[in-house]
Order: sequence, then C-alpha cells, then structure tokens
Amino acid sequence: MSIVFDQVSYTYGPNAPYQALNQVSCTIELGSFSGIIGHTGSGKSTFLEHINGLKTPSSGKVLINGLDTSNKEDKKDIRKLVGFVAQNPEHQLFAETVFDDIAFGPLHTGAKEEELTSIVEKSLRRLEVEPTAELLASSPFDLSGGQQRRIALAGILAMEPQILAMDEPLAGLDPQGRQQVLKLCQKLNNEGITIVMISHSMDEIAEVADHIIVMNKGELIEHGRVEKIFSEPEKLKRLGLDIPEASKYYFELKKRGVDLGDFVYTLDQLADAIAAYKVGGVDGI
Amino acid sequence: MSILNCREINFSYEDKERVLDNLSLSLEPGSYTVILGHNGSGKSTLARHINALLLPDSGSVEVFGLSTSSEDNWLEIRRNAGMVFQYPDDQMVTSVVRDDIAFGPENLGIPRDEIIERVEAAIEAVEMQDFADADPSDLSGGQKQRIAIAGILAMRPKLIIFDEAGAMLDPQGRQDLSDRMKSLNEQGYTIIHITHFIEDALEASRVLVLDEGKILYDGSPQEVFEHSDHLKELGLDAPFSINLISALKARGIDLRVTLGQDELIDQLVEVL
Repeated sequence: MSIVFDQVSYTYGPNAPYQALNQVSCTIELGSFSGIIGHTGSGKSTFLEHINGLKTPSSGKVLINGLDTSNKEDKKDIRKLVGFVAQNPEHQLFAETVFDDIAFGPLHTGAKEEELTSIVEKSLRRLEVEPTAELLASSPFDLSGGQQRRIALAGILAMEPQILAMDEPLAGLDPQGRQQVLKLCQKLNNEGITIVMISHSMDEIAEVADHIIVMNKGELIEHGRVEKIFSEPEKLKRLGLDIPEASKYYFELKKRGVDLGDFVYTLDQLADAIAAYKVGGVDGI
Repeated sequence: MSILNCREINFSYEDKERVLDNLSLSLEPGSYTVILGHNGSGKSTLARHINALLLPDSGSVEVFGLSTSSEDNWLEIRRNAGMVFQYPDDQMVTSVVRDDIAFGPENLGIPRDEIIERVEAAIEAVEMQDFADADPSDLSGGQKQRIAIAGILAMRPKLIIFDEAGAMLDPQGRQDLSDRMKSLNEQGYTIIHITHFIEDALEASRVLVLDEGKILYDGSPQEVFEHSDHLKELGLDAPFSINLISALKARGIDLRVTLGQDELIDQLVEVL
C-alpha cells in the first residue's frame, strides 16, 4: 500500500519548452509524512497534482494503493482516497454556512442526510475546532483567515481521505496560525493519514516530515529521510535550497570546534545537543 | 516636522470592538519603520488610516502636515503615500507591464512625456527592464510585487507603505523585497512595512509592536526583541536566534540576547 510514481513525465501541451515532470520515479509509503522542496518551477506542484489524478502522466504511471490515476474507473476511488489541499484552500469556500460548506463533499458522494451532522462535527473536532451551533450557522466569510483555512480543511477531512496532498498549507497565515496548522497536520499524520506537503520553509518541514523529496526542473533529484537530505547542505545549495536554521548552527559550531555529535535539524534537538555537550564538557574536565 | 502624526485615534468596523484604541504615533521623514502584529492586531487598519482609505472615529491623522479628515487633502495624501498590498494581482489593471505602471500617473493627469520618463525610471528602479512589455499575469509572485512597487514609484511618493507585501512570497522573494525596501529607504523614501514576519524587523530603524489596537512596544529591533517571550505569547514568532536563547535558558544555559547567528555562535563557542 503506497503511492508509486513509475517513470512519470508530464508536458504542458506539445509545444511546451520543457517537461514539467521528467521521468520521475519514487515510492511514498502509507503513513509517512513527506515534504516536497524545490524552487518555483521545479515541478513540485505538478508532482502533487498527480497524486489525486488532477493531472495524469503524459507517459509513465501513478499508482495509489495499486489504483492507476490514468484509469477512468479507478479515478473515483482515488479522489476518495486522496484529499487535495490547494494553495489558499479558503478561496474555495462558497456556501452560505460553515455547515453547508463542510457537508458539501459528503452530501454529493452519497452520505445520508442524517449522517451529515456527525460527519461535519467530527471533521471540525479533528482540527480542534468546537462545532458550536453558532459556528455551523455562520457564514465562512465572516471568519478570520486562519479559521477559514480550518473550515476548508474540515471540508476535505469530511471525505475521510487516507492521503492528504497539500500545496503550501501554511502560506499566508501568521506565525501563530502557521504553528497551529502545522501541529494539526502532524496530528492528522499521527492518526494515520499519509501527508505529502509542499513547503518553502525548511524549518517547518524539519519539524513535521520524516521524508523529503527534492525537485529541480521537473526532475526528482533526491528522496530520502529528513536527516539525510538536510545533512548535505552543499547539494541543496547547488539547487538554491537551504537547510533548517538548527542545522546551520550545527555545522557552524562544528567549524568552530564544537562537535555536537549526531546531526540535528530542529530547535529542540539543537538545544538538547548543546545542553548535553555542556554537561559532557564539564564532565570531561 | 514629522511625516505622519496620529493623535489618539480610535476606530471600529461598524459596531464591533475597537480595532484601534487611542493610538498615537509620529514618524520622522526618511525613517524605516516595521509594524509587527498578528492577524487582528489592527496593523492593516492603521495602514489604511495613513493614506485616508479609512478615517478615525475620533482623534486625528496628519500626513505630510495634511489632515485626512478633509476630503480636499486626499488626492495629495494618496499621491505622496503609496501602498503595496499582499496580493499584487489585486493591483494589476492592464495586460502590459508598462501600461500598468503608467496607470497611476495617468490618473494624476501628468503630461505624457513625463509619464513615459517616470515609467522607464520606475521599471529600472525595480530591475524589470526585460519584462516591460510582458503580460503581468505571466510573471511570478515576486516579479508582480516588483511591478506593483514600480507603479507606486511612478507616482513619486515620499512615503511607501508595504502592507503584508511579502506574505505570499517564498523566503528568497521576501528577502529580495526586504533588500529593496532598504535600498529605497537609502534613496530617501520613508518606509513603513507592516508584517508578521519578525525577521523583517531586523533591518528597520524602528520597530512597533501592535496588539489589540495599541502600541505595545516601540524601539530599535534590539530593544523590542528583549521582550521575545511576550512576543511569542502574542503569536509572533521570534527569529531563530532568540528562540534558541530561550530554549537554552530553559535548559540552564544563560546567554545575552543577540539577533544574528554570528554573535550567538561566538557566545556559544565561549560558553561551551
């Protein structure tokens, strides 16, 4: 059970100057949390759009749990399996009430009327939003940006996806909102949802992802565990990509003669390693 | 003389809570001010008072010595106080970059020859010469933001207000934008940058932190970041160096507050 890209190429029309995806192959295990990094134009959004069949390969194959995104009969099942979170998903809110917006998907894919209330409430609770009668009856457009984003996410969760393909789900939120949504993504992953997320922030990816896919000019350059990808800053730098702040401190301290031991890539790991080094240093004397 | 003078302004949208609460503020010409606040802190509402898009319920706002309460002053104020918003698409009106930049000055009734001169100078100032005849919708977010800035520059303002102008850009795009603000400031423009990215504040000469419509902190970046624990409680994220310092403090390692990575590394090497 996994997401498989097998020699996937994608071209925007016969006269496109380059291939948006060029012979991309990889396997993403279910239950994992993968970050996709790469410059604008690297093909990362096109890659993501192949996961739910929004785009299908010009050549090659994408298999979701064995279902082929190019196969019309499989498409319906794939759309159910994969929730697609577009950039600024709140721009797709449309209904008059929060309830109607979240219930729209299930209602149109065969959920019974009497189930809708429990589906809507459950989806909101998964995002740590209390489904009060007042909220459900309010217009999504009267809510703050951060709340709107959660309502949009709840609409996607209402379809009970097993995989979430997310295109910069934190963009445009303030730091508090970013932290909250990031924690929610982690929580959903802990609940078993496979997440594939595009992000510009190496620090945010470092906090939540276990794997990273590096894209450049339509090609998959690397795919590996977070600690492996971020421990090779030179490779990333050549692609114009950065490493997390914590890792920069790790390397800089090493240069200055302070070797913290195992590689670190989050703030907490770095602070723990520095504290341990200090204790170890004192013990050494 | 100050370029902006807000005296005890109050404002609320319809009958809701106060968004600006008895706020007073004065800015010097040529300054580079960053206004930090989380969503809902009132920072964008304040920005809209500066060029008379909103008027205070009570109190007064004077820009270049002109009061926003008199409609006769609005044109002069808006000509001199340009605003760049979060979504540059909302500011694009034509299908050719050059025409888009000319749109503002054309509306000011400026003679054609001068418009052409201003447009070319503005395109050059944002280094978009290669794209002068492009369709704005074909440009990247960062490029569109540069066109929006050029459109403002062509109005020859004294003051430029950036309202979350970097929020939709990637880190590189944000850095470019920040560098551009710095260079515009060095050329003499007064800059106000409204943002929730604390890193944006490092370059400013003055940092204001807004919360619930009030100015909570006002000082140099160094002075304001002394309050980093409180800033975090407000939902603002401090630069990594500050976060590391507090994480180490919690682990029993006390360090001086420094903003940059280099100074912090120096301290760490010394302590370890």
